[in-house]
Amino acid sequence: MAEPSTEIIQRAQAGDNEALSQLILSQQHYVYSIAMSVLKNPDDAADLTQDAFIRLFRALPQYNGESRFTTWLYRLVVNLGRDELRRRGRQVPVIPPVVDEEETDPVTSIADDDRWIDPASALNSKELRQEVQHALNQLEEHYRLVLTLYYFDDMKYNDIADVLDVPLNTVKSHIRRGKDRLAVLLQSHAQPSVVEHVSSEKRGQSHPPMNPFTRITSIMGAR
Amino acid sequence: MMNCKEVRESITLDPDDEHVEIQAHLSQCPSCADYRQRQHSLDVVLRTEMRWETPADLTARLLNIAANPALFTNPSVMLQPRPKGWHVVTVYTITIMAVILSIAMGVQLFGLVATQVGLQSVIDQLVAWPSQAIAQLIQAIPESRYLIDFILHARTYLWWLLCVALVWAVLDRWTPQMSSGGQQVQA
Repeated sequence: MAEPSTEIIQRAQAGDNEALSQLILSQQHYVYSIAMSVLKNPDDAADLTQDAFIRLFRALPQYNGESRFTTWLYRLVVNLGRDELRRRGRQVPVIPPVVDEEETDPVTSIADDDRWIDPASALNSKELRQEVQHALNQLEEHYRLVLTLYYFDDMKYNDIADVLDVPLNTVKSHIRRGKDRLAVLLQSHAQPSVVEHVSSEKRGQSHPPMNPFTRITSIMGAR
Repeated sequence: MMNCKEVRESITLDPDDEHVEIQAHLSQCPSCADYRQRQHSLDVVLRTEMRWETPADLTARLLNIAANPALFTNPSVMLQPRPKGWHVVTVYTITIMAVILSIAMGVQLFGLVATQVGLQSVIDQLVAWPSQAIAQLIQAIPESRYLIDFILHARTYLWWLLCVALVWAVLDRWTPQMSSGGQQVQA
């Protein structure tokens, strides 16, 4: 997450095309990643990214440097994504408040899987990465969004809290629980019954049914 | 001295935490050391899998917007969402059906007019022309018969192949652009 220099931001505010292009090139991966995290569809994420940059360019003159530029931009993207989900009548990834629940230690439960011992071999395992992608698709939206921001370089907990407009402790708690939940999903990849059990017990809520048109278009969009 | 629960909570948030108390605990607790190793692996894989590369066409669209301030400085230029997939499919289907119907009606109409005007014999000649040309070709070059036979036999398969290639090309190129107040925002 490369924070643009003050000079670039000022030039962009003055309408300098080159500075605007530099902002795009330095931030597009992050904006697109947030959009993918929220919408999970490449075409929709591309549209959201384009919309976000247009709104960013329009709002640039109002940016006064009170917060980090990237924090300001990512908050804009997250809010746009939430608006888009609301427009479609889908569940919005609002970060729920922290509640006490039974402590689990799921990452230990994948301890039997030798593929996680070495980071390099884990990264090189195509099968493992596919399992991770599958688990990420199953992960609840609010966890996925927090983890997406968490894995941006140089993104501090305070920045994530600013972007998502939640307390710092909530961010830390959701990072921990998101990783735990992901570990459970990974562990139960070979045991579907466990996934269903965990998802019904821990989530305590179900996603609204997706209408046939949305399902078809999402499949077509994932082409 | 930190206990296992505290150490693991810290490690989950930052597997590379070099805090002295954590390091002391890890040196004495193989289970937590193993936990940290697996957390580190999980972080490495997730950092890669959660970062999405921007598609090249999107980058081109964005740079085009940056190069054309009119696309974002004019408040009247409001983005409209990309049409839904099912909407596009419906429009394409209706359009294709309309085109096919128009061609069929055009052929019928032309046939009627041609009969009235007396062009039927000319049309018959035109229809018969390929067969006559093939016959003349075989007469001139008898060996060409083998090639023509092969093409005639494979004609049905070639038609299917052409149709599949056409559908493939259409689907491959099918990336509807977002419209921006009547202006197409594209590279």
